[in-house]
Amino acid sequence: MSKTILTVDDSISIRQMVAFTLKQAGFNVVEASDGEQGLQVARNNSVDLIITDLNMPNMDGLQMIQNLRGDAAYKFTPILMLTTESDDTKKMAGKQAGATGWLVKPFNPEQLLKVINKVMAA
Amino acid sequence: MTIDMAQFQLTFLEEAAEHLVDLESGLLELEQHGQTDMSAIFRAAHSIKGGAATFGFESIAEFTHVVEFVLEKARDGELKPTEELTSQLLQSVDIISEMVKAVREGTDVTPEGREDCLAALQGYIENPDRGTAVGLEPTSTSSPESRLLQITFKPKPSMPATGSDAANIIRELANLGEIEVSCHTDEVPLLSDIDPEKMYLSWDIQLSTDATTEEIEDVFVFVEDDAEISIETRAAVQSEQQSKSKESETSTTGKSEEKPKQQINKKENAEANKESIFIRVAIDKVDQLINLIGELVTTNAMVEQCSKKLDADENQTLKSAVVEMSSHTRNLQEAIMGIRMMPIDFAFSRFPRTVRDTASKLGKQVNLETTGNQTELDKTVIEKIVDPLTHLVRNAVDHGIELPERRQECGKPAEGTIKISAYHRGGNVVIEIQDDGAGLNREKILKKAIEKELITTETAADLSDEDVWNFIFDSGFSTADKVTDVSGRGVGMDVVRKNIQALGGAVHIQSEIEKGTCFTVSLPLTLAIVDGMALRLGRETYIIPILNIIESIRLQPEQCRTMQDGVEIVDIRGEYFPLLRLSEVFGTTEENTTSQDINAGITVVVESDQTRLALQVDELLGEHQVVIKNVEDNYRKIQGISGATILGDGRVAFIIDLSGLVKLARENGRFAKASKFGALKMAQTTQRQEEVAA
Repeated sequence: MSKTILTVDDSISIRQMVAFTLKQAGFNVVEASDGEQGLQVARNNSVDLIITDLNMPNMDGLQMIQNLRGDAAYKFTPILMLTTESDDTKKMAGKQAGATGWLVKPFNPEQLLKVINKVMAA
Repeated sequence: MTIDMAQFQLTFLEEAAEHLVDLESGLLELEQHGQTDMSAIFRAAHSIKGGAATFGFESIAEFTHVVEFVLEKARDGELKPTEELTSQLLQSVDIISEMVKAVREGTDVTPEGREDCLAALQGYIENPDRGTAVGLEPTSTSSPESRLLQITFKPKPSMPATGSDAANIIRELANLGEIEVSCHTDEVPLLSDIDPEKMYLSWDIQLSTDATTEEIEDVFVFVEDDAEISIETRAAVQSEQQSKSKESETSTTGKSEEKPKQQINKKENAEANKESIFIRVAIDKVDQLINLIGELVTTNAMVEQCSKKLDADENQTLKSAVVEMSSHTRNLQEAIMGIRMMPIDFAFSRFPRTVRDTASKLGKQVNLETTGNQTELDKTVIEKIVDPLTHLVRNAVDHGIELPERRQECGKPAEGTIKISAYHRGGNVVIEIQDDGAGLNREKILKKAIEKELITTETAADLSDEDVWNFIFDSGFSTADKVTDVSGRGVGMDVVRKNIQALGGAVHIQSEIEKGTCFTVSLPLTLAIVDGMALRLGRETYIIPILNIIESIRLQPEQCRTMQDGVEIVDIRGEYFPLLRLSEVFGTTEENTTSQDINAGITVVVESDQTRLALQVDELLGEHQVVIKNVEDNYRKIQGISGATILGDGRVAFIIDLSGLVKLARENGRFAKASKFGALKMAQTTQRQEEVAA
């Protein structure tokens, strides 16, 4: 059975692009528009990998990651964060919150798939 | 895999436009109240930048990056949100808008002032980090030669907590060449002491690869702080590469503890707009639905008509099915029209900016109040009404509101107020733009009108106020003392009225000197379908929009009088209305026409442009929901006709445009000049004027 990936982003265009790329690559995709929704969707589905933006309304990506890491089901699930900042503080903050890795915007579909491949066995 | 990014670009552009609106309103709020949700406006800029970079709009990304940086500093309190700064930021919003627009329209223009604005913004930040580096792109160009690497990988026990799996890393290495892995288990504790969530293993890896050092390091990029990693070249083929890899040897751990925790945005706006689930649909799909439902409504009418002719006893089931189908069709139509409905806020949201810019240019103080922002209107109507409304708003600031000193002389507060409100009235949406400014100057307008030979000095005195105000809609008519770059050239007001009328709407003015002016724009909810009354003139069928009809009445000959100038008026319960015999207007006077005798046909009292008049027709045929078909597209504009429709029996009927009809009748001399009927105008008009005065 193909793996399910949750993409969390308040930008519809980015979400569309990510979802489209992932579906093309044969993944199931579920979407959420902010951290709060992301938590909900993650808890209502069995998700194998999460790709999340950091800057979002209601609940930002870091808080969502922290929350997810508190759930038994998502303790070890790979979580990738999307960040425009190439600076290390943001990445460190993400790692501290429990993110597995990051993807610096702008990224293209190939890069996205490459990073997914890095943190999740096909 | 190649993926065409173009398909997401449109979504991005639309999204960017929405973010720009948020950004602008946030900045305006900041300017007015000294505070706003900085995180929200930062996020808006941030999203535009991220999207622009992803979808290949580098100039937008580059520019927005600087804007974002300034906003970030302002958000974190490092920059004071001075008026100067907000102005600069507002200007930058315009520039981004223009860039977005240029992309959308496929024009390759750099907005004016982009560089200056960029420079000014950069002045706010000593050290703008222009880096938009891409983390994962291989940056090395060193020629890959096959060599043997010795890698040790010793994760910290806590590594699994971030979802990293050592197996993935080894798998990734294995993809780069030939691999030999040995696992060290000596640190695994006794079973009783094992914490299953911790990592106790470490690995020695021999990798024979032609991958660059960067590529190898890239494998560990996510875990470099969670593990001890060393990469050594065992059998160097190239000395140059050896030194290279030596440099990168043994990157050790421990950074994570020392780093201060990044400030994280608090969960703000708890009340926050919970985004309900939306799907984005291309507008032409919706338009197609609307066209289809239009056809369905027509076909339904045909079926209805056919079924009426059938015998009720024999066809009972069919008849009740047809009734049901009609009701479903109607519901379906309402639902589909609802799809395209949008809150008028889409138009209103740009007015704060218009008012601010115009007012500051003219040195005026203006406060803008809007109400009824959630009033819904067809998207196409909103799109077409934005420009006329903007013009009216700008005029209100320019011509309406006086300079602060002048206002104080008149005993008014220095700050003027413009109120924009929208509400439903009947099947129309009414938008009012009201200012508490100088009001229109009757004498000045009359003088100008006489100058332009629109009227003579003699007739001037007869004109009602509203007739006088209407002169400002004539092209080339401006009473502004001097032409400014804001307004005063006299172009525009005629376009405003033309555009509103083209939408099937109307605009009215109420004004009182020193008290202010109110423009009332009424618009139909939708352009596609109208509830109409079918009426017969000779052998032809015409449609009048139901909304315009006040009553229908069969008159007695004594109720009809002819005035000296040949104009007929009718007396209905003591109220006098001009009478228009439609068959004469449309030239359908034929043998079957009965409307020569006032009591043979029927008289329909209609209201248009706040004027009531009586129309003499042969027969009323009943209410129909008619789908408006454009005549202009296929033929040319016909005065007095707003469109055509296909009737249930397949025949074509014209839809009467009442305001055009009045004009046509006037030209034909069948209708006296408007001034005569000043007294006949809706009671409401007077009432409203009283309200304005009060």
